[in-house]
Amino acid sequence: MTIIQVNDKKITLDEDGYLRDFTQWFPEVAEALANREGIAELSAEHLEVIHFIRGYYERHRVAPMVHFVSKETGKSFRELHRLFSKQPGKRAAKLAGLPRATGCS
Amino acid sequence: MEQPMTTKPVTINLDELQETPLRDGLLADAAWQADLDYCMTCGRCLSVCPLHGYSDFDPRKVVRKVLLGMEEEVIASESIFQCTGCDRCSYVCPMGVKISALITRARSLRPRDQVPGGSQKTADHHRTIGNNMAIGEEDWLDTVDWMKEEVQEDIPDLDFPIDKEGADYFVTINSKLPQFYPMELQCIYKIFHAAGVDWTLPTNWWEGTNYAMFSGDLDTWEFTLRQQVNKVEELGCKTLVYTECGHGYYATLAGYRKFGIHPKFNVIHQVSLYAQWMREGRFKVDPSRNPQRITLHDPCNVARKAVMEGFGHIMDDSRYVIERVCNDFVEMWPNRENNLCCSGGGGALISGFVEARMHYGKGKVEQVDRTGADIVCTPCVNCQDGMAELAKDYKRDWRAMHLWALLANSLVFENPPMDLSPGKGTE
Repeated sequence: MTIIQVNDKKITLDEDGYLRDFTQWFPEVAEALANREGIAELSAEHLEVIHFIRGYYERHRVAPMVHFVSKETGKSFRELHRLFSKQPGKRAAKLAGLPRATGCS
Repeated sequence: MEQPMTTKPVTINLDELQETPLRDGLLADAAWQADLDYCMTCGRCLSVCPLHGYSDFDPRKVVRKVLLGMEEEVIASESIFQCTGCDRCSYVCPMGVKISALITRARSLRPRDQVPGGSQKTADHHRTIGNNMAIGEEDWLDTVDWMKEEVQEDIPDLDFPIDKEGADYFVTINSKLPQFYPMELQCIYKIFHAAGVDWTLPTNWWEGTNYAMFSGDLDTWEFTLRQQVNKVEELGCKTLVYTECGHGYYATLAGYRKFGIHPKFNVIHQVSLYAQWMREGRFKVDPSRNPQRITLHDPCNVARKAVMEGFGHIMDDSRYVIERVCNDFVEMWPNRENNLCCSGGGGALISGFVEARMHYGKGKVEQVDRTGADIVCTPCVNCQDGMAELAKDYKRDWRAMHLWALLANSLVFENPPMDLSPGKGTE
């Protein structure tokens, strides 16, 4: 378990660096998580994807499939790849404050 | 938030149950045949255990505790979930004590809400929705088609039916592919297309893994196996093809035996099919398309554990294929049934014990380093992530790839090969 400080708020991460509590998230948390993942800066494009994933998770309590992310944000898989480097679906969900997905993930 | 804490102390009170459910369960189950009385505390098990040196876990102590009636302590211990189920202990045991059966049985006696990490939630998804990641039927078929359309841009005549009755091959998929790595589906399509066989993807019960075995949820393990058997038999398919996954194939065959399931179809690991089709001359391959140095990591479940269950041939099949799809294959040592775990086995990957994993993954990293390989090929989705996390944590440049990616990349169609340089490829 790790605690990081963002805007004077203490944010708890689990052993794998995922947010312990989905509701603790605000945009600067995504920035901090991105830096930990080696992404220097989040653009409006990044945030668009991240907000879509959060909205989906709020409705369904599971991460959206990467196809859904692609379709709903109008970004091809290659574009997502460019934005979030490898494993775009998994990494974007992490930055959006979702817990680690189930299964071999 | 629903994510469970892994540090919470666990108290087990067996008074309401039978007195020694752990031992009784092992003795009563013919498939497990784990008579702990045979243990002579020689310590070979400990000498090969990946947890050795990380905690005070010692398989001998676990056996002693159970024999002395201290079952509650065993069931409450973190170690039973830190164990990666690699089964090196059982493999070297001169008395044939099945330590892994003991661990699985101990896990099964944990209350379901006290199973650390996400393995029970995974099993719950599998039971209620039919796959590990709670993917609905429509979304699944949508992704299957999306990737098919992409491949058809290169290979216009590639096509396959969904839920085809009487198809020769009923193909399973790990839910992580449609969820996060859809490009990998293209590799599988290409291989089945190149082989020219009659295959189908089902609308449901296509999951090619079984986390209930890891979480110790024996009831769900049996339930999900039976659901899949029903689906295959309903369609009347001849062969159930298990995807490139270590434990899925193992959990299926071992589960059929344990639960007395006798399906009307054959079950085969996908890697064995590649080898068979290659021997039959169905593929035209160009190994120069995979110019990197490539080594192979044997998933424990289709290597050592498979040998003990009588299907160790998958290790030979994977080598038969890999040697023909690249020009610079090097073995890592030790390998095959003496391999080391990727660090993520037995559900450890999602159980939250990261420090333990990184500790016992050190030997694996050194093994790979000695080969000088750029790519670690491993026909297992779980091992792939285990290896990828090791590479990230130990700051190594090698990448983990599936055998299907290497094979599909070497297949000669009219399409150009993929770019496998770092940062590209199929992930």
